[in-house]
Amino acid sequence: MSTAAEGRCFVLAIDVGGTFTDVIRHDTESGAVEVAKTASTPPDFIDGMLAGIEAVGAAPEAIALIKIGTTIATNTVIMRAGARTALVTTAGFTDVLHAARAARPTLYDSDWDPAPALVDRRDTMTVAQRTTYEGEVLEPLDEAGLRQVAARLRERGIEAVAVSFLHSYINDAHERRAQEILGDEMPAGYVCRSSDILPEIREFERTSTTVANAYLGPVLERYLASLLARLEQTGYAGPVLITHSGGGVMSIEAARRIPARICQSGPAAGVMAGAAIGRTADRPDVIVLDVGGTSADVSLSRRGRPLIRPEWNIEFNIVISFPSVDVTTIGAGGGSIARIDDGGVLKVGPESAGARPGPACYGQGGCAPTATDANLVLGRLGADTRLAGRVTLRSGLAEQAIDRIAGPLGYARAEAAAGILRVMRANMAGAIRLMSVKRGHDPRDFALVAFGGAGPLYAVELARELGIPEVIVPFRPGLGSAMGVLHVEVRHDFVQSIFATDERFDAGEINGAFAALEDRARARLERDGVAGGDVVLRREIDVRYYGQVSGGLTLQVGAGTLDDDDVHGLFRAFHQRHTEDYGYTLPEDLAELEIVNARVAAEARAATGAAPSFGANGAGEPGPSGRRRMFDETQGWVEAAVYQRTALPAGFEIPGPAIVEQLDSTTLLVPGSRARVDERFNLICTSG
Amino acid sequence: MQLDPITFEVLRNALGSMCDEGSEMIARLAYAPTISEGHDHSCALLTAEGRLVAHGNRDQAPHIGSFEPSVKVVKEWVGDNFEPGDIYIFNDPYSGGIHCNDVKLIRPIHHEGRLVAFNSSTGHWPDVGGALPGSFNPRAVDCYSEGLRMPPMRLFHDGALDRTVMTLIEYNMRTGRERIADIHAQRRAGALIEDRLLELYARHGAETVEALFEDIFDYTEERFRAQVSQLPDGEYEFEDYSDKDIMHPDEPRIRVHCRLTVDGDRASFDFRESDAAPVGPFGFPRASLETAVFDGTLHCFPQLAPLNHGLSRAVEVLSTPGSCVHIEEPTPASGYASGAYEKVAAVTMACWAAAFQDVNPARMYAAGINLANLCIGGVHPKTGKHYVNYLWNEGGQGARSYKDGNPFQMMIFIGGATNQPVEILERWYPLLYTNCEGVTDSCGDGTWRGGVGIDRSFRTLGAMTMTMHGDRAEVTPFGLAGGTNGGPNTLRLRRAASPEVEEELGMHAMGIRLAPGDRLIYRSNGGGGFGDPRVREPAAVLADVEQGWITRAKAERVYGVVLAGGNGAGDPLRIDEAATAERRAAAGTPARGYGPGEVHPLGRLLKAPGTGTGAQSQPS
Repeated sequence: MSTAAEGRCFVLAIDVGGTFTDVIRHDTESGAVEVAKTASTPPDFIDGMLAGIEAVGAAPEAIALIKIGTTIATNTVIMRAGARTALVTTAGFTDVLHAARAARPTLYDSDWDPAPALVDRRDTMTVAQRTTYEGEVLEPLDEAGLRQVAARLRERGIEAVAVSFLHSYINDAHERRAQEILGDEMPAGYVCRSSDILPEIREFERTSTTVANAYLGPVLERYLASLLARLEQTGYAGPVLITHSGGGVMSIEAARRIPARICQSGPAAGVMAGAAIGRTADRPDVIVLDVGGTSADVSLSRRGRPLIRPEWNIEFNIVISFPSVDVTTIGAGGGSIARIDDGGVLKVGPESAGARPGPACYGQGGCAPTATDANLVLGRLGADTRLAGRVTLRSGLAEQAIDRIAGPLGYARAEAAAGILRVMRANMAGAIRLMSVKRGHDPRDFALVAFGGAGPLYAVELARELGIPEVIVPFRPGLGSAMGVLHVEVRHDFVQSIFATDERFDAGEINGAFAALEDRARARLERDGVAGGDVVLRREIDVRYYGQVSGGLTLQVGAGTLDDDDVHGLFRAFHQRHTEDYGYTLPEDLAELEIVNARVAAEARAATGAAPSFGANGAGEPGPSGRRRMFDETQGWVEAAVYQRTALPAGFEIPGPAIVEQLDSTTLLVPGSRARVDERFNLICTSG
Repeated sequence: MQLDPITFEVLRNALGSMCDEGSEMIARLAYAPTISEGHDHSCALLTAEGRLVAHGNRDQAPHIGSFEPSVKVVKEWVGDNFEPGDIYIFNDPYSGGIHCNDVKLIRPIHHEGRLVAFNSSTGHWPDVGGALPGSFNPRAVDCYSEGLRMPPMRLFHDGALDRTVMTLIEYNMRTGRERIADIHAQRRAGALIEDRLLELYARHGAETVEALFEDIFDYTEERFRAQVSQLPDGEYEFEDYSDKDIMHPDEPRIRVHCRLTVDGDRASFDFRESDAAPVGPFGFPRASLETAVFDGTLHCFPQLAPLNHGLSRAVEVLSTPGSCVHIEEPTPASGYASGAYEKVAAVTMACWAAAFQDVNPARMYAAGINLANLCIGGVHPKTGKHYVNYLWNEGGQGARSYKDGNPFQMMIFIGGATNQPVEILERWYPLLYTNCEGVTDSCGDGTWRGGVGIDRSFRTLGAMTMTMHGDRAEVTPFGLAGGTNGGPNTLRLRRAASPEVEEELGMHAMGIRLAPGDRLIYRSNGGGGFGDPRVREPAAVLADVEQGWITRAKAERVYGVVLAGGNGAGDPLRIDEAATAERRAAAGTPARGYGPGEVHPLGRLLKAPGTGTGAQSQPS
């Protein structure tokens, strides 16, 4: 979308993390970029954002657009800091929410407990009413009973109410009426209904999503209103967009109506960053590794687009059924703690020393050996490295910590430290396999984008282990998520069920479904300020063998009206893809195909201004700034050259073993690997 | 261990995740709703000798222990004649374990011309023939009315499907043609595991990978033995019963008895005092007995999961052929899960609880919900199409010795499964649900109580035939250490024609004809309690009443907690301390027995942590 109007040429991308707020100022006329990192300011985070905006030198009248990625919604649900919420549901069905899907994460674990629902069971109220799966009303809504329920909720100090009745996705009349009545009876309350939030079949998933929405509603309402007001005070009254779980941005107004959609706003920004970095480096197929202090996020992008899944599990048994970037988070970060289990086996993570006390080498009182301590002992991090620009690392403390496990394992210190890193990498490799191989993607066909403070330390060795040919380390690895916010565009996904098979279908119905979805998409984008030629629509269709319940393939569909031949073409494409992916097709008499869903993804066309350029390189001396001993798993101690990232010009080549240092990250090149600086100052590493 | 601990951990995870991948592949490609929706399938890797190395993390425990005996049978059958590209199909319960519905595909994996491993997967096929749709048969007197029994048959040779074998399958089961899709799903999972394993061979060499197999067994066996050796030597005994012998309802209940002997680092389970097999379905074959013992054992040694051959090497299991836990042809096997399997897993855990009580009381688990399979079939009045489906309930988990059991859990032995959404069921079948709600007061009570069961009652909207195959309507999930037994599985019928009459259908109802508007009241077990209910924290009892898990009456009667208030706003429920003290001092001990609210005669002898004994009176 076009953003440079009347001298307003800055787009601000802001990532509000738990510890730091990153702001990128992108001048869409010149492409110039300014960045700032400020301390985050919980609980409302707004002071930190405003400080960041000031720090990048963006005068309000020069700002065309502000885009924000924030973990506030994620943290609200994870920290259980939402509103006291009630659920109103169909009489007899109190425990749809509390029973969830009755599933457990592992087979043999009688100790496991499901997470408590976001609504207490005593605040789960029922009211007489019943609608059938065809939308027929069997029993009217008991309005008097509902008013009594409202009175009880008022007495209890309930702030938010979710309304979810059976089959409301097909007939929402009772829910609408209930919302009106509750609105009358509880004027200060936040009331939402499932037929508005997620009009889809499956009562648990719809109810759980609506409850999460109500739980977040009052908190986000206050936050977003206050954010807009504070920005206005500074003199900015232009558009503000927020990244949502599905890997796009949406307007503040949309976020206020459906706050559950921004639950994965923070991780989505990182995922989008990886995809964008891949695109700018001409690698549209990338696996993205974002490693911070406590966890590693892994995602995958094909043809420049991240994989999206239909839902996000806050906890194993609490689900938000909105499209959400497909990201696997594991407890593997710089602070992950190594220990020896009762069978004598080395384990690393998911427990983390966090930021406080942090790894032993921080000297803040931590004594458990962590991944950062191992990296320091092995010379992979320099003793004079200042992680995130703050803490100075102390080798002596790291050595003591590593010795705590080296002794019991019967290893020398370096071997033990290398072992910690091997287990870390194995865990990360498992997450990468889960995202790639398990979803039918061969990692060897992808490049690995590594960022976050610790990602570039592991990436080259990981790539070697997984057969991934190239690693891309962006110029500012520590700014990953804010980069994602900068590149993300308005995006919404729409889906409609279709009941058709390859023997009985009506191309008109399919065309009608796509047309209806596209009308909805255009209307939604218009509300977000995107119109006309800036709207990009993409169609997909889900096809499966009639009889498969959960399987199937999603196929791309071209624009325009489909005729019968086009639809048959889709079915042929299904058979071909199925053969490619799975090595068989079913015999003809069993191979009836079913169209399940039409999908439309609606996006704003990417900004047309000058692309952001981080090019401040080549200022210093590009040669090694020093050398130090580094432990390599196969060769033992080797002498590695140390380079300063900001001094490296485009086209510069570095042979491993080498260490590339910068303020917010360290890239490790093991012997045999190489790196080259591309014209966008990405480091392109080959694992050799 | 031959490998260093780090290589060991890395490669062991690789084996586990390849099985996870295989299982996910099966769910994606299968046609059978039992597999794709119910997740009733598993995928495993075994050595060339047929020893279990790894399985999927969300597989079904009853399948997993049957892989070793099944591969053993196939090996005896085939000898040295395994060829790359061959796949065998097999489902005989008596030699391989479980029941005919659980169909196994077994694939030999070769590396450089040498047989190095097997993949085996199991899928629960929705029908394998027999007397009734679904092949469950609560009135079976032999296995010949429970579906097609398959010896090892070569289903694929050189990658090509054998038409004769496939046609035999198609001719002998309902919707048999559709099973081609499930066969392809299982075959594809096997191909994936073969690829992954051969990648490991290529990267690390045969020597390392095969050393890994041995290390996995040693690691598990050594850790298990080390933990067992910390338990006091001795004999630990437990027993439990079925509701009845279905074919002889007037005869005594069927007894499953277990004696665990701990001697140094050795553990031996002796089931030889269990009853003889009944004529009807209840029992299971020897291979499943071992599986159920391993299943219960892993719940008490969770850090040893997943299951592998190392554990089977370390546990001895004794049984008498012809007994209810060691049936022989032609005793029926279809109903094994709610029968012998659930009992053996539960008594295994109870024996371990006894062994652990002085050492680590955090390994003591009361029994929880059991299966009650409700099969319906008919013609949908709106679409005119034939349908068959299974319904099942989640229910109450047993109390733990240190915390309450959870409500609304799947049975411990089918942890990978889920419930079915009401909205989906109403769309596909002529049903109108009236409830999805906890059954108040259904929990077994204790210092820690069990979770409550669920009420999933419904009305029929068309004529249909139903069959129920379950257990634990009368002998309910047992409590331990003075905790009471949980509430029953129930199935009752109110006919549209005479709604005031409630008919008890019980757990073995077969071929009941239902008319439109009939109402089935379908409720599940609550879990057993742990420890004396009269020492439960009064505040916790108050919270239970507020949450609706128990009534005020039960709080007073069983827990001795007297509440005051509760008359609207401004009058919150509160504990009447004086009345509670008085009530608790005067309360008697619950009756001993096997039914709801009673105290299991052996279970009560276990000690609650931190007290001299569970029951307040000493065992007599």
